[in-house]
Amino acid sequence: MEDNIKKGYLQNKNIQDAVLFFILAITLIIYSLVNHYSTAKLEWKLSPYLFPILIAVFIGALSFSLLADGIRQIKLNEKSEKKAAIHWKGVLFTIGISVVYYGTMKFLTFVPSTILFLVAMFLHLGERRIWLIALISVVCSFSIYIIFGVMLHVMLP
Amino acid sequence: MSGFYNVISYFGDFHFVWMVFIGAVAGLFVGAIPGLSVSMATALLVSITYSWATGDAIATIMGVYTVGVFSGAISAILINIPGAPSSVVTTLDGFPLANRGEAYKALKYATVYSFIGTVFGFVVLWLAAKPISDIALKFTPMDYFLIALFGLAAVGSLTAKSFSKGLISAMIGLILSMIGIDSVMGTPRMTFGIYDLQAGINIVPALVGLFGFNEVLSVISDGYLDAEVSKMVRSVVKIKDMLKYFARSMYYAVIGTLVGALPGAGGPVAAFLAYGEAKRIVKKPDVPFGEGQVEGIVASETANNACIGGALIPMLTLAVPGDAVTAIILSVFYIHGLQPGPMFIKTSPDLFNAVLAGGLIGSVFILLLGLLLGPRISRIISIPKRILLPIVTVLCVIGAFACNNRMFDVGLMFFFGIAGYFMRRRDYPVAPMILALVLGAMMDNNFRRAISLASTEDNMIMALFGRPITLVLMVFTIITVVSNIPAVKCYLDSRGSKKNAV
Repeated sequence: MEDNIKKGYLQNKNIQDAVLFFILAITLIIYSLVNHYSTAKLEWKLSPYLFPILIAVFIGALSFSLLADGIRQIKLNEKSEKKAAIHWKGVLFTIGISVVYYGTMKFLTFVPSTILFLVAMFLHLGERRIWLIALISVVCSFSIYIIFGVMLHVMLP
Repeated sequence: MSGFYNVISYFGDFHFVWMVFIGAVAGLFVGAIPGLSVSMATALLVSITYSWATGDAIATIMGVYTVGVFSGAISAILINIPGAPSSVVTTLDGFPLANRGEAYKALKYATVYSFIGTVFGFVVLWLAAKPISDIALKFTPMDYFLIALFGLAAVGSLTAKSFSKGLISAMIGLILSMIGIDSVMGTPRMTFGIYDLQAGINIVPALVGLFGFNEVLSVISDGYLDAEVSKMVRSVVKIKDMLKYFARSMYYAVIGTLVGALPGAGGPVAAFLAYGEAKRIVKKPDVPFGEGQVEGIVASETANNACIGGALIPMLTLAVPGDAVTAIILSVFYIHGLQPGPMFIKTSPDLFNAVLAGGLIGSVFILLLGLLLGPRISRIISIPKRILLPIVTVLCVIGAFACNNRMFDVGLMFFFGIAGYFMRRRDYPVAPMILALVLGAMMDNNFRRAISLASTEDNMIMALFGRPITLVLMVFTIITVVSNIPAVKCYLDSRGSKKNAV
C-alpha cells in the first residue's frame, strides 16, 4: 500500500517537473553566486548575475507551486488528460534524420543534402509513389535554391 | 495640412504603389508559409534593397511589414502554426474555427480587422507621433521592467492550463535570454566556454524551432498525417455581422498602438493583452474563447496590426525600435544614410510621409490580397502533411540559417524544436518562452539600471516604485499574478458562481 502511494508520487508528472525545476533553480543560484564572487567581482546592483538569481528564486517558488498541484492531484485522485499514443519511432527517426541532414549539409552542400533528406522523410512518412518523391525532392530543392540563393541572394547552408 | 496632401499624393504615384504591392505580395507568402517570418523577410530585404532608392526601399519594406504581420494569421488559422509571434493568439480561436469548417469566415474576419488595426495604427502614428513618444520618454527603467513582467505574467496566464507552467516557460525563456555577452558589463555570461553562444540566443532560430520544427515533430508524434486540415468552404459573411465588433475593435486597436509604442513590448504582448481584455469584456460568449470565438481573432488581429503604427513611433522619433521587425527596419534606415530620432520628422518630412503612405497603401493591400488571395493560399498550405512536413523542415533550416549565416543557428533551431515538442507533451506553452527571449535582455538591463539609479537615492523603495505610472504597472502585474494563484482563482470562481446562483 505504502509502496503504491510512493509510486504514485514518483509517477506524477507535476511532481517530477517540480523536482527538476527545483534542482535547476538551486543550480542557477549556485552558478550565479560562484561567478559573481569569482569572476564578476562587482557590486550586486551592477552584477550580470543579479537577474539570473532573481529568476532562479522565481523558478524555485514555481517548483513548489507545481509540487502543490501534483500533491493535490494525488489526493483528489485526479488523472491527467489521456493523450493520443505517441509514435516514438516516427519522432526519433525524424530527429535522427534531421541530425544527419545537419551533418551532411557541411560536406554535401545544400541541394544534394536536401534532396536526400526529402527522399528519406517522404518514404518515412508513408509516401510510396517513387516518381512523386523524386519529382518533389528535386523540384523543391532546386526551387528553394533558385528563389533564395539566386534571386534573393540569401546565403544557404 | 500640406503633410496630409503629401501623404495622399503617394496614392497617385504608380511606381510607389507598385513597390508597396511587390512587398505586399512577398509579405503575404512569407507570412503564410510556415517557417518563414516577417522578421526574416525584412532581414533579407536589408541586403536586397541595399542599392535601391530610399523611397523604393521604404515602400517595399512597409508592404512586407504590414501584409506580412497580417498573413501570419493565415497559417495560424489554417494549420495552427503562427507566421510570427504576434499571431500566436490568433491560433487559439482561428484554428478551432478552421477545424469546424469555418476557415473562410475566420480568414475574412482576420483580414478585415487586420486592415482596421493597421489603418488605426498609422493614423495614430500620423497624428500623435510626438505626444505618444513624449509619454514613452517619461518611462523609467523600472517601468520598462514592469511592463515586460506584466506582459510575461499575462502571457503565462492566457496560454497555459496551469499558470505555474506558463510562468515556468517564461522563466526558462528569460534564462536563455541571459546567455551571451552581458550588454551592461561586456562580460560573457552562461556561455560555458562555447564561442558561438557569446552572440546570445538569436530569436529567429528559437522562433522557427519552437513553432516550425516543434509542429513537425508533434504532427508526426500524433500520427495524424492524413488528417485533412482546414478545408476551405466559401461562406457568406454579412457586412452587418462583420462590423458587429467594430466598436470594440477600436479599444483593441488602442491597446495595440499603445503597446506597440512601448519599446520591447510588441505584437505578441499587444495581442495577448487585447485577447485578455476581450475575455474580460465578453462575459457570456456564444462560443467559449479558445474554442473558435470570433472575438478572439478580432482582438488579436486588430491589436497586433495596430502595433505596426505604434512600433514605428519610438523607432522614428527616438530611434528605439518597438519590436524585432522595426529593429531591422532601423538598420535599413541607417544603411540608406537616414538618421531616425527626435529630429527625423523635421529633417526628413518626405521620408516620414513615405513611411505613412507605405503603411496606409499596405493596409489597402491587406484587404485586397487577404480577401482575394488569402483563401486561395490555403491550397498551397493544405497539401498532404506527409509532403508538407519535410518541406517545412527545409524552410525552417533556411529561416534559421539566413538570419546570421551560421550553421550553429540551424542546430539551435533543431534544439528548440525538440525542446518545444517535449514542452508541449508536458503541457508547457511555448509562447511565454518566446516572449521572454525577446524581452529578457531589455528586462535585465532596465532592472539593473533601475536598481543602480535608486541606490543613489535616500529612499530606495520610493525611488523605485514612487511614481504614479510605476504604481499602476505594479498593481496590474500583482493583480495578474495573484488572481492566477490556484487558491485565489478557486475563491474568485466560487464567488462568481454564488453570485450567478443568486
